[in-house]
Amino acid sequence: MKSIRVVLFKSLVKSFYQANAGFFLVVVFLGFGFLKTPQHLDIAIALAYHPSYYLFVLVPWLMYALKTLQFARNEKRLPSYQFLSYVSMVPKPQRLRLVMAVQAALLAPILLYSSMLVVVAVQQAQWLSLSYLVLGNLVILFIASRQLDRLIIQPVDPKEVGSLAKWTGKLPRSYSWLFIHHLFNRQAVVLLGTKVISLAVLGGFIMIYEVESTDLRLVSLGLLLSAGINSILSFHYRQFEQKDLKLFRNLPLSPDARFVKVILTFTLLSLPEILVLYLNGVMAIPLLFLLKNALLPISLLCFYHALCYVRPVNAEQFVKLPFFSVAILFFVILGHVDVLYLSTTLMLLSWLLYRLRFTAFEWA
Amino acid sequence: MKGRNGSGKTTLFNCLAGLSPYQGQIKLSGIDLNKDPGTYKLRVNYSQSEPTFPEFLTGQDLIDFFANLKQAKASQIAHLCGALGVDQFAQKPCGSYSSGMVKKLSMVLAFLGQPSLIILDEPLITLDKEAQDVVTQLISQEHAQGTTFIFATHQDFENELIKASHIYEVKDQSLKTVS
Repeated sequence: MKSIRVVLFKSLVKSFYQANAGFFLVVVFLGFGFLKTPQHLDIAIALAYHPSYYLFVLVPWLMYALKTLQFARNEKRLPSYQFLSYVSMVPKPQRLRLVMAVQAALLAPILLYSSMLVVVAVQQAQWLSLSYLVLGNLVILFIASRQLDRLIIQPVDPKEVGSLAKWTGKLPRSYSWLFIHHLFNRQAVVLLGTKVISLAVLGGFIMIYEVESTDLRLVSLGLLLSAGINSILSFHYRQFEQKDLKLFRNLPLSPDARFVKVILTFTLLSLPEILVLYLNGVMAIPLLFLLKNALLPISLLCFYHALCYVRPVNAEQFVKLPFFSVAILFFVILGHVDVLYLSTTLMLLSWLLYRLRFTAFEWA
Repeated sequence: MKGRNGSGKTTLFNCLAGLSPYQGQIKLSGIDLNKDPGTYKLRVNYSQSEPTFPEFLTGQDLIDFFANLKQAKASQIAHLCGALGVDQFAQKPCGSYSSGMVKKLSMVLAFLGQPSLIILDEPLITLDKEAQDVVTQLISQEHAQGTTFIFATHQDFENELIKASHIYEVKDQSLKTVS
């Protein structure tokens, strides 16, 4: 049974955390950067005394559980994961225990946070809250495990097209659009999740600016953070190039021409942010500022993509790049550096890295 | 099993092996794939024409995984890995394998346990001459012990060791007996 557990953990748990390293970075940044331990304890005490508030906590936990299941579903659709259906050969009671262990590992972040809430509820002797909390977690774990079991053992037709891909099938198929098709077909949840968080952050910063109406740097900082959130797309683009676009290296295209296509891809991917920026800020923000700032997310995404050419990086190594660069650029923007200079410098650096490293890296 | 490219041979094999959804019933010696998948899959082994596995899993991970499920003995694993040379690269991740190495690994997995039916989709493609001979020998030996084989191949696969007792063709989404 150990060998089956090893394969399931490597295929579903380890790869989930690797693929979602950027997501966890954002959660840690938002959840533990703005809120410190005393605030978390205050929240836990408030929850302990008002059990109905757990409903608000259960909503993001349920969404997270759905995210884990969506990941497993996407993996299972890949031909290389078809063999997981053989797990159906394991007797049902053993299999359910095994799958529950896998699902518990996938739900580890919320189970760990729940443990803290449990400890606080016990300390406050709030037994009703404690029972709600334990029951809520157990229900999520059991239902998610049941679904995961079905996903693992049920055969999947890899030719089946996702519902989002059906709608996007008519988009152009030129080189710059290929990664976008890949996202819609294979990583729709990553794309959707990234855009929802990124747009919420950007929208929040624009709202604060509109209320304060004093400092335009707030809008730039919002764009910077949303670009940091989108950075995971640069990593996925590089992986897509390495796995699925190998033959395209054979095309008679210069590195410069390829770089232009990369810029176009990231421009297309940044359109939602640019649109939100314009639609929300057109009345309150000067047009020239909007135009200059629109370049920031595109140049940053190009920069992260170009950095992947410097040396091979896995997801864990990659997340350090946006983490540290956003932290540095945050203070650069606060230092009144014009965003246009910043974007131009980042774009020039990306182009230089691309020119210097493309041939050596791709043909190594 | 013959048929043009895209006629549905691989889809049929995937269904027979329980890897793709299907409509209707699939039974082997009275064992229904849908009702008793464990027993059915214990008796039916399969090697895909172009097998792929997650790049981070090692060959050994997969051999242990399948050996456990197919109830294969350690001596059988050692014999198959040695014969096909898989023991030389089994500790490395699949992402570093050539297509021939993946095919050899897939062949080892297809022979594990005591199946009564082995489905081999294009069993010789991407294999070197030496490995092709080993696979031919393995098929011959297993067949002599009562295992049934289904092949799909575009090559002239029949030789002194292997003779097809029946030839079928997949055409227009149906199976036709050729001989």
